[in-house]
Amino acid sequence: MSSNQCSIRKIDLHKSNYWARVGIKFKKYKSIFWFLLPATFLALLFGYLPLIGILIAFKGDFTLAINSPIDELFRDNWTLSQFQKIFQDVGFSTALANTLTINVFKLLLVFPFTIVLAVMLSEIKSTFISKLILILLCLPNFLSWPVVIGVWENFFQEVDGVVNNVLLSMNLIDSPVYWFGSEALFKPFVIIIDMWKGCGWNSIMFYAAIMSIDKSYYEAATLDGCSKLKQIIHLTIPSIIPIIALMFIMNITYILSSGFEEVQLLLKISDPSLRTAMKTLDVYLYETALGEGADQAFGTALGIFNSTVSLVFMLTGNKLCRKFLNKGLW
Amino acid sequence: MQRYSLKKQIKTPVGDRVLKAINVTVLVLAMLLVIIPLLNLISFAFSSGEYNAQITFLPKGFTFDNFVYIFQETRFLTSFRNSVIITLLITLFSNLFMSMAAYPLSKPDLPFRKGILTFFIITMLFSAGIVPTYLLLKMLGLYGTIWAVIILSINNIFNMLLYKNFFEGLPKEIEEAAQMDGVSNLQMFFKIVVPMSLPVFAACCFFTIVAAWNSYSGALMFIGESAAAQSQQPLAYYIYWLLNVGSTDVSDTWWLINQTNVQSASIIISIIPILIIYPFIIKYIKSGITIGSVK
Repeated sequence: MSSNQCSIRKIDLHKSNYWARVGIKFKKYKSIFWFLLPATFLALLFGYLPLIGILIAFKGDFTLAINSPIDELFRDNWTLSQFQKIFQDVGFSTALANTLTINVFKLLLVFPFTIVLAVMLSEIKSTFISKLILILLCLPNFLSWPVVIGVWENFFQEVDGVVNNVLLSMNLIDSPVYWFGSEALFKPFVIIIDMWKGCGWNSIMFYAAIMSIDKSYYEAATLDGCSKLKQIIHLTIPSIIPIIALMFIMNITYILSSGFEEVQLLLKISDPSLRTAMKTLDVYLYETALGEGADQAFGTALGIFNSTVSLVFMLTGNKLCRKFLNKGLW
Repeated sequence: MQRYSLKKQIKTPVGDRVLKAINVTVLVLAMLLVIIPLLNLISFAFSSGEYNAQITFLPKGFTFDNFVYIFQETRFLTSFRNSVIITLLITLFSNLFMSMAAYPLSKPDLPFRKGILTFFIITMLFSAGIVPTYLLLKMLGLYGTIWAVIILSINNIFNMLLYKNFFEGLPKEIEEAAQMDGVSNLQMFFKIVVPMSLPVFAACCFFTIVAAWNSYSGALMFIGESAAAQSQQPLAYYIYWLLNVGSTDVSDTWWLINQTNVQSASIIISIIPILIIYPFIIKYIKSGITIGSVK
């Protein structure tokens, strides 16, 4: 009897329309719906409202000298030329090439090094000491970019810099080297400073993954006469392959951004002659948008181009992760 | 014959010992590479400018003059105050609003849950770029003030997702029991859910503090470099400005000699707040990792 009633009610609920069910649930959560308000308001204001500004990219020119922004936005000078300009622009292609070079080298050098660092840390017997080292290596990650660049500028100064002084006293160089004045050294500096700041912090994920591997595997391997190197190659690395893949995809998705603050600051302390040739995409984007002699219509077009390509990379990366690792990027 | 323990009988192979030696060497080198530039910075900050050529890792001509000089600089003091205000307000409002928004979203049967989540995630994945945001801030009259940086940093969707995941993992029984006792939804959040989620609140707050204190690009773009904006710039921006001031900018001989030292000293002051909360961050790094892996 009771089960009969139950099934009737189920059917009723099923039949009752979608909105009625939503209404019931809405009533249940009525008093917490307003929790979403502040975040929603800010998302609408600073996430969605600026999207109207995308229209700027479809304008021949955009100047605020005469009109107010709203009048200027709806002035009739629509064109697609800004997007065509992107691909003919020399500044853009140099910046793109620089960004890709830096990021490919980061993927080839810095990324494997963080994994190696995690493996090395896990090989230390005392977890206390390995954690101590990790804490020290993580410290630069929590310093701001102006601080980091300041530290390196002091260290590599032309006059009074420690590096120059040491090299001079060892007679390796005849006169002080101007480290921030040569094009050949700029990209290595970007990569090395990024490594100095981030490698400790980035290896934490791998370190945690290694520490969670069952210790009895290692004991069995040792008893079977497996050397440490073989244990690392055949046991440690295969166990953390999923997290390596995840981090690798995550790095790939950021391939168009090589760290705005780092490169911008490094360019500022470097010789002015490097400024045009060594820009990366983020810096170029900022300078066309807000820098001296900014072209705001072109800057917006570049921004949209960049955002769209990044979005495609992100979504693809997320799909790949979901498919092969059963885990999304967010 | 207890002395011949098992450990001594199984000799570690030569290859392993070589590997261990390499391992220790590389790690010590890595540590030195982190420490040495910082030591160099500290010795510059505590040295008098005439000895700069001889400074390596120990101060020469020990002095506090550089610090005294900074604390008389009005621009440094305003920047410091701005950074404190920015950091406090962002940390407070960002974590309050994000955790509040995450709470309804952690209910699996909330109507339009997926739609609302997508609405927020889109803002994380796609932005209109610098120019539209700049124009909007200008129209709102926020451009060039610290409020521009603050209001843009409050919405942190990544943290919202962390909060949401954490709330989803809380035991349902406690909330159900509280509901039986007639606790309202509002009380439920502030009196039951928040106290149960202190680890995630602590972790998110610490990382917000670090990000807000260190943020420099927001100030560069939306506070700007104009003279009028000088009183609004945060400390990270001040250091950037200090790095760029050529010696011709100031016609003060003491400054000319001690420029590097003053730079180093102000860098050290700006690091101190980070160093104070660093032990707490370390404590939560582990919980941060677990949050990250649950995500």
